[in-house]
Amino acid sequence: MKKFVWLISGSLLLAGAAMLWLGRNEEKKQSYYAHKFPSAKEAYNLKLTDQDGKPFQLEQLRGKLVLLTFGFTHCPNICPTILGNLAAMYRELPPAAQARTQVVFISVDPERDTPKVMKDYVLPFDGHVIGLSGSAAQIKEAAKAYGVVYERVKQAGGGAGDQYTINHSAYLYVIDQHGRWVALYDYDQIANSERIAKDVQHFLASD
Amino acid sequence: MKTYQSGSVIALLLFCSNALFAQEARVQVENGWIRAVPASLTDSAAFMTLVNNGDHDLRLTGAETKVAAMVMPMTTTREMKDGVQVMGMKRVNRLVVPAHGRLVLAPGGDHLMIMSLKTHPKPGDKVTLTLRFDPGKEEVAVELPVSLTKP
Repeated sequence: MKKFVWLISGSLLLAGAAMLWLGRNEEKKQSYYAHKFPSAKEAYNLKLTDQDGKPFQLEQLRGKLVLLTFGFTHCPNICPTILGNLAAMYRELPPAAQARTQVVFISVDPERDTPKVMKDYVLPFDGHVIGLSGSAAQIKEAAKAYGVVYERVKQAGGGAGDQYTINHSAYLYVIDQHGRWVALYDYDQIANSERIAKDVQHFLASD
Repeated sequence: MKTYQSGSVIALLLFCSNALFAQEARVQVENGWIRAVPASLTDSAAFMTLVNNGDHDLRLTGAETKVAAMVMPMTTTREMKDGVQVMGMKRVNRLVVPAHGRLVLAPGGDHLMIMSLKTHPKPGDKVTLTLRFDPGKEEVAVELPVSLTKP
């Protein structure tokens, strides 16, 4: 009888261990919604100005998961939508994850987007967005580092003669808590705040 | 000729319609809203679904409002450049609401850009836009809520 009990409990233990081991592998294979790079890239250390007019470096966010996007404030169409979706995503995170996640919005419109404008702009988004601006040269450098394409386009029709808009790539870049650029989302993915929230927690859990 | 968003008013007018009203635009506006923007910004946008119950295509050519200098139809563009998708906005002369069909104006797509704001409506305010349609320069006034995000 004792042998039998030992056999059963031994097998159960082995089975349990096997399941845990298999489960660990499965956790690793769990797919991300984001387009994850085959191998992490170096996250260029951005040096810009925050919405309070203070110097900012991306490195100061080390330890947090950073969601980085580029746009401009004179855009009532795409950029507020992206930030709105990210605000919704942020609300879906448990408080522990919120504390370790940071949304950063960088302006590609140095002519109009001063720190004061950025401050007004990010204020409604739950106050959890860092809005960065810089000189034309700094923005050019930052955009190049992340493969952002942008161009100033004169806007046709009436009103002040020098109305312009900026055509720009609208992706969301993920920089993990170790300062590595690991993934990105394309514009159409950004609307799915639920899946991004899941990804964020997944990124934060993996070390 | 101005008509109002209220369905019952349109119904009443249609009921009373005769040859005089034969050219009236049979367009309804649903789920409209205007983006609230901070005081430092000069432009905003209006989004809505336009329903055309008539037999002929309608062309939305613009709008008028007390809160801004002009309202222009815009489309969102996407093009591949240097391997990435670049998005932009372009003014168009008109946006078509097909006969017995609908046109959705939404972020990331076609929309009405409200340019050179004179006042800055706050979330919760209501703003009247008088939409202009061809043929016939028909006008439809709608009162839209102001919101930070889609209500």
